[in-house]
Amino acid sequence: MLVTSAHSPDGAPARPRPTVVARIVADRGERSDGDLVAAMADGDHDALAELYRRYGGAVWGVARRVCNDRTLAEDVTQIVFVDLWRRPQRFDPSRGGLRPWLVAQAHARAVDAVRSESARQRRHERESQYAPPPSPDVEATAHVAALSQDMRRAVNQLAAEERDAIVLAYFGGHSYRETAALLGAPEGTVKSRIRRGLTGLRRVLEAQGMTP
Amino acid sequence: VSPLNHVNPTAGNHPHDELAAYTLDAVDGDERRMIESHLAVCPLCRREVAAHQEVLSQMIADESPPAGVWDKIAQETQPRGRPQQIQAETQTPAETPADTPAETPAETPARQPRADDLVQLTTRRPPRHLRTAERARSRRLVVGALAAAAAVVVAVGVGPRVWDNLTGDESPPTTLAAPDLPVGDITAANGTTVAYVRADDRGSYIEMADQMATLPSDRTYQLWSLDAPDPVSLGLLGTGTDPTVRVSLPEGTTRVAISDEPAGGSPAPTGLIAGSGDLAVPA
Repeated sequence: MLVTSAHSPDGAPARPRPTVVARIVADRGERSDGDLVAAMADGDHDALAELYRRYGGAVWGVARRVCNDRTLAEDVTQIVFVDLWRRPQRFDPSRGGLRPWLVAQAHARAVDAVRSESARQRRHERESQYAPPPSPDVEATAHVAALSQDMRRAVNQLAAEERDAIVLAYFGGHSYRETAALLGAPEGTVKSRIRRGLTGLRRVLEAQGMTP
Repeated sequence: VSPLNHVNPTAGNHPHDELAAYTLDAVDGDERRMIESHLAVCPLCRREVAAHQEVLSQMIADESPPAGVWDKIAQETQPRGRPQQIQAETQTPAETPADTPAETPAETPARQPRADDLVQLTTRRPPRHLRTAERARSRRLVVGALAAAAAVVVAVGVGPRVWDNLTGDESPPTTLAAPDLPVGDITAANGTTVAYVRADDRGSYIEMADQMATLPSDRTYQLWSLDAPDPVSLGLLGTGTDPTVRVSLPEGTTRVAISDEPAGGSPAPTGLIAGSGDLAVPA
């Protein structure tokens, strides 16, 4: 049997106890993302660890969905947090929350990774005559199916062409030009669908009480 | 026709469609540069991008990243002058010297051990992803009993220095049937549940949620009771790779927290609180 330890609290430091308790209370509820980013900018590595604990799952989540490859997604996750550590000033709290911002960073990195990866694969496929990619319908349906139940319900309230444009571009990592080609629609139309879809989705989420 | 004809803010127009495609990283490099130069001078459009990012981020469900990712990040970000991995027993995982009693064993204890400092933590089943060496090391994380610690303290030869309890309460967990043990969720400051306090006929145990990040090998999670004025250690939970860890909760425990500490643990919380929660005995 493995018996791990309660470590012994003797040799307690001279630090007054109430401070410890106060800090616990503060840490429990009041250490905001902004405080942690500021602490991290001052070299507090524990603050980075805490931010990773809070948002590592979201960054990994988007990276894995877009990359569809664990090794690429690991690289993306690593890059995003190392970059947060090295250039914390890039996050501007007045522009919104840290989670959406980190997810956006991860998405951009993931798309870069996928595009260079897929360019490599395309070269390979031309040579080896690979099977054709799935139809945009199938691809969009798969992206929607992978959403949480709540989100699936939300995106399914959009017009189908808005929903498909968003998931193909966002999860498929396709540019709006590629998305337009996939859907057989004009490029300008696809951009408008993406915007209408995002605006509509925001309304749906607000109606469901899912936006903060 | 360039889609960016109306990117110029002085025209009073905002490139709404382009902003949406930009937020999805679906524009090419030239378009991106033009949109970013517009964003630099247009707070309205910055707000619009942030609103789109907010919506998109909600499409993303948190998933537990692989254990090795944090190690790589820590390796690349660890400030100089701080040990990355605590290998040699002469090294200390300390952030601040005052906070490292675990590294100054066998000194006169500042206070007498208390009965409720005694805990026994037992992993329920062997962690899947622990490598043999690490596993062997955790086997030596036999610690606990303060009375014994006060008597004889032996630093283990490999890995972080820990308290080694020679008398060791190694009796198996109680087999009393379904005791009245408190249970509850442990949640992070952002509301995410990071662990659960559960009980079965063998006693209490902590189950790590998927959201619980894996710590680097020179850190450990530590469980605390917050019921007394001073936090009381209830034992070490490891780096988060063990899905469940047996714990012994003193009777009447109603508030607990998990903190992130240097390997070997701390006498009082020094690291960040990973989560906390209220416990109650099920009716």
